Amino acid sequence: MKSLVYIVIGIILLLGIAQIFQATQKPKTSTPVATASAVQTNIKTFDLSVKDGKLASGPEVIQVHEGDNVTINVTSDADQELHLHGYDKRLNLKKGVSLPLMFQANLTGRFIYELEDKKIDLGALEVLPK
Amino acid sequence: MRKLLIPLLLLPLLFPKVAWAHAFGQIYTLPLPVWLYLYGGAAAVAVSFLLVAYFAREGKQSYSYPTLEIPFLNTLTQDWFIFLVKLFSLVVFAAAVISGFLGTGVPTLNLIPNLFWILIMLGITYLSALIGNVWSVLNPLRIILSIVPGNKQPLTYPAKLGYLPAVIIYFFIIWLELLSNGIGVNPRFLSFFFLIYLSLSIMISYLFSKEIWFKYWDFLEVFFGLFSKIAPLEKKNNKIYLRPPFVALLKEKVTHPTLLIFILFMLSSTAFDGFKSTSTWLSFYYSFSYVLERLFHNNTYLLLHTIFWSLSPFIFLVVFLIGVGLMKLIVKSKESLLSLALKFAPSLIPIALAYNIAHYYTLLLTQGTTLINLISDPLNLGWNLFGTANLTTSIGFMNASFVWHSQVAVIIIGHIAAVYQSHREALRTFPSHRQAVVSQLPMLLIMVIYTMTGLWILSQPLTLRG
Repeated sequence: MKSLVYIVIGIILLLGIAQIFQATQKPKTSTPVATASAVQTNIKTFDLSVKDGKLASGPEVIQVHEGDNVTINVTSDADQELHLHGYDKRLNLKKGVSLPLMFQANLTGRFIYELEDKKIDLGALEVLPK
Repeated sequence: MRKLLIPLLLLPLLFPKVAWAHAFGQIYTLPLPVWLYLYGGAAAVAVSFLLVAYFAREGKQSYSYPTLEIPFLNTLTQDWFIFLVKLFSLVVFAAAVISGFLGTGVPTLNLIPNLFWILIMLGITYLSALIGNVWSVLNPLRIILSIVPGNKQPLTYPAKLGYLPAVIIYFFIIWLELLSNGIGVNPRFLSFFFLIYLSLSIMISYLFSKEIWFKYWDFLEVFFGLFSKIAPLEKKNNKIYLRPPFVALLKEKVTHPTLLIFILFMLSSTAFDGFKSTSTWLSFYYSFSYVLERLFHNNTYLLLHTIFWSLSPFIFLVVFLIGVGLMKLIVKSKESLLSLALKFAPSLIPIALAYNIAHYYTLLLTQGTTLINLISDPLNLGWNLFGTANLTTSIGFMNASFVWHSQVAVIIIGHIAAVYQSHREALRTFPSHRQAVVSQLPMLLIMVIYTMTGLWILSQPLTLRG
């Protein structure tokens, strides 16, 4: 009986502290409703360029939110394959041509994109939960 | 024994490095957000004090625990069932070893790396904690050695050696996992290593006895044996009983300092694995590597990682001994520091399990889905026995928010269990109730340190690999 009281106090304590800490969280960014045909998800575009098997320009960490429509434009100095883990998306890069990788960020987590042939990590896509 | 260590460490160099290495075991989780990490710490502290208050008011502890027989599970103890399970295990291991030598060289697609690193090192760990010592039934070495004749005149095992062989093997396995640059997931290497391990077991069993092998050398028996003490199920006289989880930890007697090192290594190897992927480690590494690169060039990466990784259990040991030392001071105990440390060692096992689950459970789900394909085509021959060979699933990917909360929850539960067990041990060991409870304050502190370290590692920004 006594143990039960402590367990209940414990649960209340854990939930109470959780509430306090959750309140300190930054308010989630919300999509501004610009037009009458309100699009709930954002469209995010990023540009990467690959030279000599390395990321020459562009973000090493691409951060988006769950549900965003993502477009990654990749320019490469050689013909090779770009592979996005997790989503398991592949992009056949052609020398000198900017090609887009488009998808909706439905999986949350951290997904590495790499040059498939050389197995070189270029960066990470971080999809934050809503 | 030590003479074997160097060539053993160099052995992996004989095997070609597999380029796909970093794709095996890739974890897709995001770092914990700061507020959740701080919450975890605050929650751990708050609950700890609640436990202190509970024990302060409680009277004498009873060390027997209630058990409830579960009749319909008794089938699991029947000889014919155990026989079938062992047969199945043997077939799977044979398939894995064959697959390692003859199947695809791609670790993510071959049976043996998935079997060992995912199904066994993760799956059986969690299964052991959930239902008990299943490995003593599944262990292929037990099955194979039962056919090998014993030695009528075994040598006496040097008691001072204790669990050191298991510790060394465990070190080697984790080194393979974290620092071998892909050799540890190379299918050919794994098959070869299994055969070496089997040969070693036959040799040691012959020299000393099978019992000595399984108690002091077979690192998986030691590993799963420790975690199975947490399980809420136990077997007595061929009957299965339900019991409260964690209680059997108090029955566990750690008799040798090498077992304490083993337990601490369970904690530190997981912590180090998490830590070495963080950008904090990267900046720390660069400050040292600048100097060392002049001396060791390309070997700096391996050297620096190996040094810190082998020191990591001793860092945890120092923290643990400080806690035990302070506890000894408060109680003015005449017992030696070592003796007390060994008594309180079992309370670290829940934290080790919590670390393991929090860091790796998502890997079991993401890489583990390959096992569904492998059931139908274990030898990569193009079979499709159960129709699942080409199934692609994304069930492995869980929502990041759920993963965060479950990681923190698991770590807090592990912390509670550890503090609880430590209290009960103190009340059993120390004569004065009041002193025993007060003595737990330093233990509480070190457990909060372990818990917060685990959470902190999970919250750090991550780096890319190679």
